[in-house]
Amino acid sequence: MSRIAETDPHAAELRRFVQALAMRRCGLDPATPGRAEKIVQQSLKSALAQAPHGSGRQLRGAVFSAAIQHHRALLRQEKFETGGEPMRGAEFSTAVDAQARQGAEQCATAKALAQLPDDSREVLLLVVLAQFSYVEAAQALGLSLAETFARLTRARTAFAALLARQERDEIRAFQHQAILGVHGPAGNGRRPAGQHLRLVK
Amino acid sequence: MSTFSLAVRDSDLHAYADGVLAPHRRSEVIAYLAAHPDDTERVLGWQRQNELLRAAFPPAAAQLVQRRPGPAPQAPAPQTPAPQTPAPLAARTLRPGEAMRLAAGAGDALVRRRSAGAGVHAASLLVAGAVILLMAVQFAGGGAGLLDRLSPMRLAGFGPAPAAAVLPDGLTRRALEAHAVFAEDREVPVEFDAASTAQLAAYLSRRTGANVRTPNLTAQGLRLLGGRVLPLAEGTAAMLVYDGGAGHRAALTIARIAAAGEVGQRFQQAGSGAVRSVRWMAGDDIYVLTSEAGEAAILGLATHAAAAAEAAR
Repeated sequence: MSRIAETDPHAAELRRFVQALAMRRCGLDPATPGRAEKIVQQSLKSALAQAPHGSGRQLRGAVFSAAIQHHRALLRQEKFETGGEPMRGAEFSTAVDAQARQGAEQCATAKALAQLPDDSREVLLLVVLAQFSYVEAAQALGLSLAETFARLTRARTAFAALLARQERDEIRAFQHQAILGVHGPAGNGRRPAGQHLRLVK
Repeated sequence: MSTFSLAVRDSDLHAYADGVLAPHRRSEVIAYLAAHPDDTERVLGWQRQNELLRAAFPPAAAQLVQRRPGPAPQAPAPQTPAPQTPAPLAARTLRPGEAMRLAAGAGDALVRRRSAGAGVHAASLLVAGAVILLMAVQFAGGGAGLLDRLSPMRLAGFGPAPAAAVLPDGLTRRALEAHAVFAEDREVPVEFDAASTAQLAAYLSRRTGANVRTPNLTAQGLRLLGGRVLPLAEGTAAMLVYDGGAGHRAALTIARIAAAGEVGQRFQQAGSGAVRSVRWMAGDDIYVLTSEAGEAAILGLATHAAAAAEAAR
Protein backbone atom coordinates (compact mmCIF):
# COMPACT_ATOMS: atom_id res chain seq x y z
CA MET A 1 0.00 0.00 0.00
CA SER A 2 1.33 3.44 -0.82
CA ARG A 3 2.09 5.67 2.13
CA ILE A 4 0.01 8.46 0.66
CA ALA A 5 -2.98 6.13 0.71
CA GLU A 6 -2.43 5.68 4.43
CA THR A 7 -2.89 9.38 5.05
CA ASP A 8 -6.01 9.55 2.90
CA PRO A 9 -8.48 8.80 5.73
CA HIS A 10 -7.18 11.89 7.51
CA ALA A 11 -7.60 14.20 4.53
CA ALA A 12 -11.25 15.12 5.12
CA GLU A 13 -10.86 16.01 8.78
CA LEU A 14 -7.55 17.72 8.06
CA ARG A 15 -9.22 19.83 5.37
CA ARG A 16 -11.91 20.89 7.82
CA PHE A 17 -9.26 21.74 10.41
CA VAL A 18 -7.15 23.77 7.99
CA GLN A 19 -10.15 25.67 6.69
CA ALA A 20 -11.03 26.71 10.23
CA LEU A 21 -7.42 27.45 11.14
CA ALA A 22 -6.68 29.56 8.07
CA MET A 23 -9.95 31.44 7.91
CA ARG A 24 -10.02 35.16 8.55
CA ARG A 25 -13.53 36.40 8.50
CA CYS A 26 -17.00 35.24 7.65
CA GLY A 27 -18.40 35.54 4.21
CA LEU A 28 -16.20 38.43 3.12
CA ASP A 29 -12.99 36.99 1.79
CA PRO A 30 -12.73 35.77 -1.77
CA ALA A 31 -12.98 32.02 -1.95
CA THR A 32 -9.62 30.61 -2.85
CA PRO A 33 -9.86 27.05 -1.61
CA GLY A 34 -6.74 26.13 -3.56
CA ARG A 35 -4.56 27.76 -0.93
CA ALA A 36 -6.03 25.74 1.92
CA GLU A 37 -5.83 22.66 -0.24
CA LYS A 38 -2.15 23.36 -0.79
CA ILE A 39 -1.56 23.30 2.96
CA VAL A 40 -3.48 20.04 3.20
CA GLN A 41 -1.47 18.38 0.46
CA GLN A 42 1.85 19.66 1.79
CA SER A 43 0.91 18.40 5.25
CA LEU A 44 0.03 14.94 4.02
CA LYS A 45 3.32 14.65 2.19
CA SER A 46 5.56 16.07 4.90
CA ALA A 47 3.82 13.98 7.56
CA LEU A 48 5.11 10.90 5.80
CA ALA A 49 8.59 12.35 5.86
CA GLN A 50 8.34 13.22 9.56
CA ALA A 51 6.88 9.89 10.60
CA PRO A 52 8.20 7.45 7.99
CA HIS A 53 7.25 4.43 10.04
CA GLY A 54 4.20 5.88 11.70
CA SER A 55 0.73 4.56 11.32
CA GLY A 56 -2.71 5.14 12.74
CA ARG A 57 -2.93 7.78 15.43
CA GLN A 58 0.78 8.53 15.21
CA LEU A 59 0.46 9.34 11.54
CA ARG A 60 -2.65 11.39 12.21
CA GLY A 61 -0.76 13.42 14.80
CA ALA A 62 2.08 13.98 12.36
CA VAL A 63 -0.34 15.12 9.64
CA PHE A 64 -2.01 17.73 11.85
CA SER A 65 1.27 18.85 13.31
CA ALA A 66 2.60 19.35 9.79
CA ALA A 67 -0.50 21.38 8.90
CA ILE A 68 0.15 23.69 11.83
CA GLN A 69 3.75 24.14 10.77
CA HIS A 70 2.81 24.83 7.15
CA HIS A 71 0.19 27.33 8.23
CA ARG A 72 2.67 29.14 10.47
CA ALA A 73 5.21 29.21 7.64
CA LEU A 74 2.58 30.67 5.34
CA LEU A 75 1.77 33.40 7.84
CA ARG A 76 5.45 34.26 8.19
CA GLN A 77 5.87 34.36 4.42
CA GLU A 78 2.87 36.62 3.95
CA LYS A 79 4.02 38.90 6.71
CA PHE A 80 7.39 39.17 5.02
CA GLU A 81 5.83 39.80 1.60
CA THR A 82 3.30 42.36 2.76
CA GLY A 83 5.58 43.94 5.31
CA GLY A 84 2.76 44.13 7.78
CA GLU A 85 0.05 42.02 9.22
CA PRO A 86 -0.19 38.61 7.63
CA MET A 87 -3.09 37.91 5.33
CA ARG A 88 -4.31 35.39 7.80
CA GLY A 89 -6.38 32.86 6.02
CA ALA A 90 -7.33 34.94 3.04
CA GLU A 91 -8.97 31.87 1.68
CA PHE A 92 -12.25 30.87 3.12
CA SER A 93 -13.38 27.84 1.28
CA THR A 94 -16.58 28.08 -0.62
CA ALA A 95 -18.01 25.17 1.26
CA VAL A 96 -17.32 26.52 4.71
CA ASP A 97 -18.29 30.01 3.65
CA ALA A 98 -21.64 28.77 2.46
CA GLN A 99 -22.13 26.82 5.64
CA ALA A 100 -21.12 29.76 7.79
CA ARG A 101 -23.40 32.16 6.01
CA GLN A 102 -26.39 29.98 6.76
CA GLY A 103 -26.84 31.66 10.09
CA ALA A 104 -25.68 34.69 11.94
CA GLU A 105 -24.70 32.50 14.85
CA GLN A 106 -22.29 30.47 12.74
CA CYS A 107 -21.04 33.65 11.14
CA ALA A 108 -20.42 35.15 14.57
CA THR A 109 -18.54 32.01 15.53
CA ALA A 110 -16.37 32.19 12.44
CA LYS A 111 -15.66 35.88 12.96
CA ALA A 112 -14.78 35.36 16.61
CA LEU A 113 -12.54 32.45 15.72
CA ALA A 114 -10.78 34.49 13.08
CA GLN A 115 -9.89 37.13 15.67
CA LEU A 116 -8.41 34.61 18.06
CA PRO A 117 -4.58 34.60 18.23
CA ASP A 118 -3.05 31.87 16.09
CA ASP A 119 -1.64 29.85 18.99
CA SER A 120 -5.02 29.90 20.73
CA ARG A 121 -6.81 28.88 17.57
CA GLU A 122 -4.45 25.98 17.03
CA VAL A 123 -5.03 24.39 20.41
CA LEU A 124 -8.76 25.06 20.39
CA LEU A 125 -9.28 23.53 16.97
CA LEU A 126 -7.07 20.55 17.71
CA VAL A 127 -9.11 19.70 20.80
CA VAL A 128 -12.60 20.61 19.59
CA LEU A 129 -12.64 20.04 15.84
CA ALA A 130 -9.92 17.43 15.35
CA GLN A 131 -10.81 15.85 18.70
CA PHE A 132 -7.23 15.26 19.70
CA SER A 133 -6.64 14.11 23.25
CA TYR A 134 -4.83 16.65 25.37
CA VAL A 135 -1.65 14.59 25.21
CA GLU A 136 -1.87 14.36 21.42
CA ALA A 137 -2.52 18.10 21.17
CA ALA A 138 0.52 18.77 23.35
CA GLN A 139 2.64 16.59 21.10
CA ALA A 140 1.34 18.21 17.93
CA LEU A 141 2.09 21.68 19.31
CA GLY A 142 5.41 20.76 20.88
CA LEU A 143 4.24 21.83 24.33
CA SER A 144 4.11 20.25 27.75
CA LEU A 145 0.72 19.09 28.99
CA ALA A 146 0.58 21.91 31.54
CA GLU A 147 1.38 24.49 28.86
CA THR A 148 -1.28 22.99 26.64
CA PHE A 149 -3.94 23.30 29.33
CA ALA A 150 -2.84 26.84 30.10
CA ARG A 151 -3.06 27.74 26.42
CA LEU A 152 -6.43 26.04 26.13
CA THR A 153 -7.75 28.01 29.08
CA ARG A 154 -6.50 31.24 27.53
CA ALA A 155 -8.01 30.28 24.20
CA ARG A 156 -11.42 29.47 25.62
CA THR A 157 -11.50 32.57 27.78
CA ALA A 158 -10.55 34.78 24.85
CA PHE A 159 -12.95 33.00 22.53
CA ALA A 160 -15.80 33.50 25.01
CA ALA A 161 -15.10 37.23 25.12
CA LEU A 162 -14.84 37.45 21.33
CA LEU A 163 -18.04 35.48 20.89
CA ALA A 164 -19.90 37.71 23.32
CA ARG A 165 -18.65 40.81 21.54
CA GLN A 166 -19.47 39.36 18.15
CA GLU A 167 -22.95 38.43 19.30
CA ARG A 168 -23.52 41.91 20.69
CA ASP A 169 -22.45 43.33 17.34
CA GLU A 170 -24.78 40.96 15.51
CA ILE A 171 -27.69 41.96 17.73
CA ARG A 172 -26.86 45.63 17.31
CA ALA A 173 -26.65 45.20 13.55
CA PHE A 174 -29.92 43.33 13.57
CA GLN A 175 -31.62 46.08 15.56
CA HIS A 176 -30.12 48.69 13.27
CA GLN A 177 -31.41 46.87 10.23
CA ALA A 178 -34.78 46.47 11.86
CA ILE A 179 -35.04 50.18 12.53
CA LEU A 180 -34.03 51.00 8.98
CA GLY A 181 -36.25 48.32 7.58
CA VAL A 182 -33.35 46.55 5.94
CA HIS A 183 -33.65 42.80 6.00
CA GLY A 184 -30.35 41.17 5.28
CA PRO A 185 -28.10 41.61 2.28
CA ALA A 186 -31.01 41.27 -0.10
CA GLY A 187 -32.93 44.08 1.59
CA ASN A 188 -33.89 47.01 -0.57
CA GLY A 189 -33.72 49.54 2.20
CA ARG A 190 -37.46 49.94 2.38
CA ARG A 191 -39.66 48.65 5.11
CA PRO A 192 -41.95 45.95 3.77
CA ALA A 193 -45.52 47.03 3.47
CA GLY A 194 -47.65 46.00 6.38
CA GLN A 195 -44.71 45.20 8.68
CA HIS A 196 -43.62 47.53 11.42
CA LEU A 197 -40.90 46.87 13.92
CA ARG A 198 -41.01 48.64 17.21
CA LEU A 199 -38.34 48.67 19.85
CA VAL A 200 -39.79 47.82 23.23
CA LYS A 201 -37.95 49.10 26.28
CA MET B 1 -17.63 24.14 53.06
CA SER B 2 -17.11 21.21 50.74
CA THR B 3 -13.76 19.50 50.60
CA PHE B 4 -12.39 17.54 47.68
CA SER B 5 -9.86 14.73 47.80
CA LEU B 6 -7.87 16.35 45.03
CA ALA B 7 -8.03 19.92 43.96
CA VAL B 8 -10.16 20.40 40.89
CA ARG B 9 -8.00 22.07 38.31
CA ASP B 10 -8.70 23.69 35.00
CA SER B 11 -7.63 20.46 33.32
CA ASP B 12 -10.54 18.68 35.04
CA LEU B 13 -12.94 21.37 33.92
CA HIS B 14 -11.70 21.14 30.35
CA ALA B 15 -12.11 17.38 30.45
CA TYR B 16 -15.61 17.81 31.84
CA ALA B 17 -16.53 20.27 29.11
CA ASP B 18 -15.10 18.03 26.41
CA GLY B 19 -16.70 14.88 27.76
CA VAL B 20 -13.46 13.05 28.44
CA LEU B 21 -13.26 13.31 32.21
CA ALA B 22 -12.03 10.16 33.90
CA PRO B 23 -14.95 8.36 35.57
CA HIS B 24 -13.33 8.38 39.00
CA ARG B 25 -13.23 12.18 38.94
CA ARG B 26 -16.82 12.67 37.92
CA SER B 27 -18.46 12.95 41.30
CA GLU B 28 -15.78 15.27 42.64
CA VAL B 29 -15.99 17.60 39.70
CA ILE B 30 -19.78 17.63 39.89
CA ALA B 31 -19.60 18.48 43.58
CA TYR B 32 -17.04 21.14 42.86
CA LEU B 33 -19.19 22.70 40.17
CA ALA B 34 -22.20 22.65 42.44
CA ALA B 35 -20.23 24.72 44.92
CA HIS B 36 -18.72 27.03 42.32
CA PRO B 37 -21.37 28.56 40.07
CA ASP B 38 -18.83 30.77 38.35
CA ASP B 39 -16.90 27.76 37.16
CA THR B 40 -20.15 26.04 36.21
CA GLU B 41 -20.97 28.95 34.00
CA ARG B 42 -17.48 28.87 32.55
CA VAL B 43 -17.73 25.17 31.73
CA LEU B 44 -21.16 25.59 30.17
CA GLY B 45 -19.70 28.37 28.06
CA TRP B 46 -16.94 26.06 26.88
CA GLN B 47 -19.46 23.40 25.97
CA ARG B 48 -21.38 25.95 24.00
CA GLN B 49 -18.18 26.97 22.22
CA ASN B 50 -17.65 23.35 21.22
CA GLU B 51 -21.17 23.19 19.82
CA LEU B 52 -20.78 26.43 17.91
CA LEU B 53 -17.44 25.47 16.41
CA ARG B 54 -18.68 22.07 15.27
CA ALA B 55 -21.80 23.66 13.82
CA ALA B 56 -19.79 26.31 11.98
CA PHE B 57 -17.42 23.71 10.53
CA PRO B 58 -19.41 20.55 9.92
CA PRO B 59 -17.47 17.49 8.79
CA ALA B 60 -19.49 17.19 5.59
CA ALA B 61 -18.14 20.51 4.35
CA ALA B 62 -14.79 18.91 3.76
CA GLN B 63 -16.32 16.53 1.28
CA LEU B 64 -17.92 19.10 -0.99
CA VAL B 65 -15.21 18.81 -3.61
CA GLN B 66 -16.23 17.48 -6.97
CA ARG B 67 -13.73 15.62 -9.04
CA ARG B 68 -13.50 12.59 -11.20
CA PRO B 69 -11.74 9.39 -10.35
CA GLY B 70 -8.36 8.93 -11.91
CA PRO B 71 -7.33 5.93 -13.95
CA ALA B 72 -6.95 2.63 -12.19
CA PRO B 73 -3.44 1.87 -10.95
CA GLN B 74 -1.40 -0.82 -12.61
CA ALA B 75 -0.78 -2.84 -9.49
CA PRO B 76 -3.62 -4.64 -7.70
CA ALA B 77 -5.26 -2.12 -5.45
CA PRO B 78 -4.89 -2.66 -1.73
CA GLN B 79 -7.73 -2.20 0.68
CA THR B 80 -8.00 1.15 2.35
CA PRO B 81 -6.75 0.86 5.92
CA ALA B 82 -9.18 1.30 8.74
CA PRO B 83 -8.99 4.93 9.82
CA GLN B 84 -7.91 5.53 13.35
CA THR B 85 -10.81 7.38 14.85
CA PRO B 86 -10.14 9.82 17.63
CA ALA B 87 -11.13 9.07 21.17
CA PRO B 88 -14.86 9.58 21.37
CA LEU B 89 -15.86 12.84 22.92
CA ALA B 90 -19.24 13.78 24.19
CA ALA B 91 -21.85 12.48 21.84
CA ARG B 92 -24.13 15.22 22.91
CA THR B 93 -23.37 18.27 24.93
CA LEU B 94 -25.64 19.91 27.37
CA ARG B 95 -27.79 22.63 25.96
CA PRO B 96 -28.79 25.25 28.45
CA GLY B 97 -32.46 24.86 27.66
CA GLU B 98 -32.44 21.14 28.29
CA ALA B 99 -31.10 21.36 31.78
CA MET B 100 -33.49 24.14 32.54
CA ARG B 101 -36.47 22.19 31.35
CA LEU B 102 -35.44 19.08 33.21
CA ALA B 103 -34.48 20.67 36.47
CA ALA B 104 -36.67 23.67 36.74
CA GLY B 105 -39.43 23.02 34.27
CA ALA B 106 -38.68 26.20 32.43
CA GLY B 107 -39.53 26.64 28.78
CA ASP B 108 -36.94 27.05 26.14
CA ALA B 109 -38.02 30.47 24.97
CA LEU B 110 -35.21 32.12 26.85
CA VAL B 111 -32.56 30.15 25.05
CA ARG B 112 -34.16 29.76 21.65
CA ARG B 113 -31.89 32.35 20.22
CA ARG B 114 -28.62 31.27 21.72
CA SER B 115 -26.73 34.04 20.06
CA ALA B 116 -28.55 36.61 22.12
CA GLY B 117 -25.92 37.37 24.70
CA ALA B 118 -28.24 38.40 27.46
CA GLY B 119 -30.41 35.33 26.98
CA VAL B 120 -27.45 33.01 27.09
CA HIS B 121 -26.17 34.67 30.21
CA ALA B 122 -29.51 34.20 31.90
CA ALA B 123 -29.69 30.63 30.66
CA SER B 124 -26.23 29.84 31.96
CA LEU B 125 -27.10 31.17 35.37
CA LEU B 126 -30.25 29.11 35.43
CA VAL B 127 -28.33 26.01 34.36
CA ALA B 128 -25.85 26.65 37.12
CA GLY B 129 -28.80 26.77 39.46
CA ALA B 130 -30.14 23.58 37.93
CA VAL B 131 -26.87 21.77 38.55
CA ILE B 132 -26.85 22.92 42.15
CA LEU B 133 -30.47 21.84 42.51
CA LEU B 134 -29.67 18.40 41.13
CA MET B 135 -26.72 18.08 43.46
CA ALA B 136 -28.79 19.18 46.40
CA VAL B 137 -31.41 16.54 45.65
CA GLN B 138 -28.74 13.91 45.27
CA PHE B 139 -26.89 14.80 48.41
CA ALA B 140 -30.08 15.06 50.41
CA GLY B 141 -30.62 11.41 49.74
CA GLY B 142 -34.04 12.00 48.35
CA GLY B 143 -33.12 11.26 44.80
CA ALA B 144 -31.01 8.15 44.68
CA GLY B 145 -30.15 7.56 41.09
CA LEU B 146 -31.73 10.78 40.01
CA LEU B 147 -28.40 12.28 39.21
CA ASP B 148 -27.53 9.32 37.08
CA ARG B 149 -30.63 9.87 35.03
CA LEU B 150 -30.73 13.63 34.87
CA SER B 151 -27.24 14.86 35.50
CA PRO B 152 -25.46 17.04 33.00
CA MET B 153 -22.88 14.27 32.86
CA ARG B 154 -25.41 11.94 31.36
CA LEU B 155 -26.75 14.59 29.05
CA ALA B 156 -23.25 15.51 28.06
CA GLY B 157 -22.51 12.00 26.95
CA PHE B 158 -20.47 10.84 29.91
CA GLY B 159 -20.41 7.27 31.02
CA PRO B 160 -19.64 4.38 28.70
CA ALA B 161 -18.42 5.50 25.33
CA PRO B 162 -20.99 5.13 22.58
CA ALA B 163 -20.51 2.04 20.50
CA ALA B 164 -18.84 2.56 17.17
CA ALA B 165 -20.44 1.74 13.85
CA VAL B 166 -19.84 -1.96 14.26
CA LEU B 167 -23.16 -2.48 16.00
CA PRO B 168 -25.52 -4.88 14.21
CA ASP B 169 -27.10 -2.26 12.05
CA GLY B 170 -24.27 0.26 12.03
CA LEU B 171 -24.02 0.34 8.26
CA THR B 172 -27.76 0.86 7.89
CA ARG B 173 -27.67 3.75 10.30
CA ARG B 174 -24.72 5.26 8.47
CA ALA B 175 -26.53 4.79 5.14
CA LEU B 176 -29.63 6.57 6.45
CA GLU B 177 -27.52 9.44 7.76
CA ALA B 178 -25.63 9.68 4.48
CA HIS B 179 -28.90 9.65 2.56
CA ALA B 180 -30.13 12.66 4.53
CA VAL B 181 -26.84 14.53 4.19
CA PHE B 182 -25.74 13.70 0.67
CA ALA B 183 -28.46 12.06 -1.41
CA GLU B 184 -30.93 14.83 -0.57
CA ASP B 185 -28.39 17.50 -1.42
CA ARG B 186 -29.60 19.35 -4.51
CA GLU B 187 -26.22 20.87 -5.30
CA VAL B 188 -23.45 18.34 -4.68
CA PRO B 189 -24.98 14.94 -3.95
CA VAL B 190 -21.95 13.01 -5.25
CA GLU B 191 -18.21 13.34 -5.41
CA PHE B 192 -17.88 11.59 -8.74
CA ASP B 193 -20.37 11.73 -11.54
CA ALA B 194 -21.61 8.74 -13.48
CA ALA B 195 -20.01 9.70 -16.80
CA SER B 196 -18.12 6.43 -16.71
CA THR B 197 -19.82 3.84 -14.55
CA ALA B 198 -16.98 1.36 -15.06
CA GLN B 199 -14.43 3.88 -13.84
CA LEU B 200 -16.69 4.86 -10.97
CA ALA B 201 -17.15 1.23 -9.90
CA ALA B 202 -13.43 0.56 -10.18
CA TYR B 203 -12.55 3.57 -8.08
CA LEU B 204 -15.13 2.83 -5.38
CA SER B 205 -14.04 -0.82 -5.29
CA ARG B 206 -10.47 0.29 -4.87
CA ARG B 207 -11.30 2.66 -2.04
CA THR B 208 -13.67 0.40 -0.14
CA GLY B 209 -12.35 -3.06 -0.80
CA ALA B 210 -15.88 -4.08 -1.78
CA ASN B 211 -16.82 -5.46 -5.15
CA VAL B 212 -18.81 -2.38 -6.12
CA ARG B 213 -21.19 -2.62 -9.03
CA THR B 214 -23.42 0.15 -10.37
CA PRO B 215 -26.87 -1.38 -10.89
CA ASN B 216 -28.80 0.12 -13.78
CA LEU B 217 -32.20 1.15 -12.42
CA THR B 218 -33.43 3.25 -15.31
CA ALA B 219 -36.25 0.77 -15.86
CA GLN B 220 -37.39 1.66 -12.33
CA GLY B 221 -37.20 5.35 -13.17
CA LEU B 222 -33.93 5.98 -11.34
CA ARG B 223 -30.97 7.61 -13.05
CA LEU B 224 -27.51 7.11 -11.56
CA LEU B 225 -26.01 10.47 -10.61
CA GLY B 226 -22.68 9.18 -9.33
CA GLY B 227 -21.07 8.11 -6.10
CA ARG B 228 -18.87 8.95 -3.18
CA VAL B 229 -16.83 7.29 -0.47
CA LEU B 230 -18.28 7.26 3.04
CA PRO B 231 -16.12 6.91 6.14
CA LEU B 232 -17.12 4.21 8.60
CA ALA B 233 -15.77 3.64 12.07
CA GLU B 234 -13.70 0.83 10.58
CA GLY B 235 -13.04 1.27 6.90
CA THR B 236 -15.04 2.90 4.17
CA ALA B 237 -18.24 2.35 2.20
CA ALA B 238 -19.32 3.30 -1.29
CA MET B 239 -22.47 5.30 -1.88
CA LEU B 240 -24.27 5.51 -5.20
CA VAL B 241 -26.95 8.16 -5.61
CA TYR B 242 -29.89 7.83 -8.00
CA ASP B 243 -32.32 10.51 -9.07
CA GLY B 244 -35.91 9.62 -9.73
CA GLY B 245 -37.13 13.08 -10.70
CA ALA B 246 -39.69 15.15 -8.84
CA GLY B 247 -37.30 15.44 -5.92
CA HIS B 248 -37.08 11.73 -5.29
CA ARG B 249 -33.65 10.32 -4.57
CA ALA B 250 -32.47 6.83 -3.76
CA ALA B 251 -29.05 5.73 -2.58
CA LEU B 252 -27.21 2.47 -2.50
CA THR B 253 -24.52 2.06 0.15
CA ILE B 254 -22.08 -0.80 -0.28
CA ALA B 255 -19.44 -2.07 2.14
CA ARG B 256 -17.32 -5.13 2.59
CA ILE B 257 -18.49 -7.18 5.57
CA ALA B 258 -15.24 -6.63 7.44
CA ALA B 259 -15.74 -2.89 7.20
CA ALA B 260 -19.44 -3.02 7.93
CA GLY B 261 -18.77 -5.33 10.85
CA GLU B 262 -22.01 -7.16 10.55
CA VAL B 263 -23.80 -10.03 8.92
CA GLY B 264 -27.25 -9.08 7.78
CA GLN B 265 -30.36 -10.95 6.83
CA ARG B 266 -31.51 -10.88 3.28
CA PHE B 267 -33.80 -7.94 2.56
CA GLN B 268 -34.06 -6.66 6.06
CA GLN B 269 -36.03 -3.44 6.29
CA ALA B 270 -35.23 -0.66 8.71
CA GLY B 271 -35.59 3.06 9.16
CA SER B 272 -38.34 5.24 10.38
CA GLY B 273 -39.79 8.46 9.15
CA ALA B 274 -39.65 9.43 5.52
CA VAL B 275 -36.56 7.47 4.51
CA ARG B 276 -36.61 3.67 4.61
CA SER B 277 -33.85 1.20 4.02
CA VAL B 278 -33.50 -2.35 2.80
CA ARG B 279 -30.32 -4.27 3.39
CA TRP B 280 -29.08 -7.42 1.74
CA MET B 281 -25.90 -9.32 1.18
CA ALA B 282 -24.22 -10.19 -2.08
CA GLY B 283 -21.09 -12.27 -1.80
CA ASP B 284 -18.88 -10.64 0.79
CA ASP B 285 -20.56 -7.27 0.48
CA ILE B 286 -23.51 -5.66 2.18
CA TYR B 287 -25.85 -3.44 0.21
CA VAL B 288 -28.17 -0.92 1.83
CA LEU B 289 -30.78 0.78 -0.32
CA THR B 290 -32.29 3.96 1.10
CA SER B 291 -35.27 5.73 -0.37
CA GLU B 292 -38.45 7.56 0.50
CA ALA B 293 -40.46 4.92 -1.34
CA GLY B 294 -43.10 3.01 0.58
CA GLU B 295 -42.52 -0.39 2.15
CA ALA B 296 -43.61 -2.45 -0.82
CA ALA B 297 -42.04 -0.14 -3.38
CA ILE B 298 -38.62 -0.09 -1.74
CA LEU B 299 -38.63 -3.86 -1.41
CA GLY B 300 -39.38 -4.16 -5.11
CA LEU B 301 -36.68 -1.65 -5.86
CA ALA B 302 -34.20 -3.58 -3.74
CA THR B 303 -35.05 -6.78 -5.59
CA HIS B 304 -34.32 -5.10 -8.91
CA ALA B 305 -31.14 -3.51 -7.58
CA ALA B 306 -29.90 -6.83 -6.22
CA ALA B 307 -30.62 -8.55 -9.51
CA ALA B 308 -28.99 -5.77 -11.50
CA ALA B 309 -25.92 -5.80 -9.27
CA GLU B 310 -25.69 -9.56 -9.61
CA ALA B 311 -26.01 -9.31 -13.38
CA ALA B 312 -23.21 -6.77 -13.45
CA ARG B 313 -20.78 -9.12 -11.69
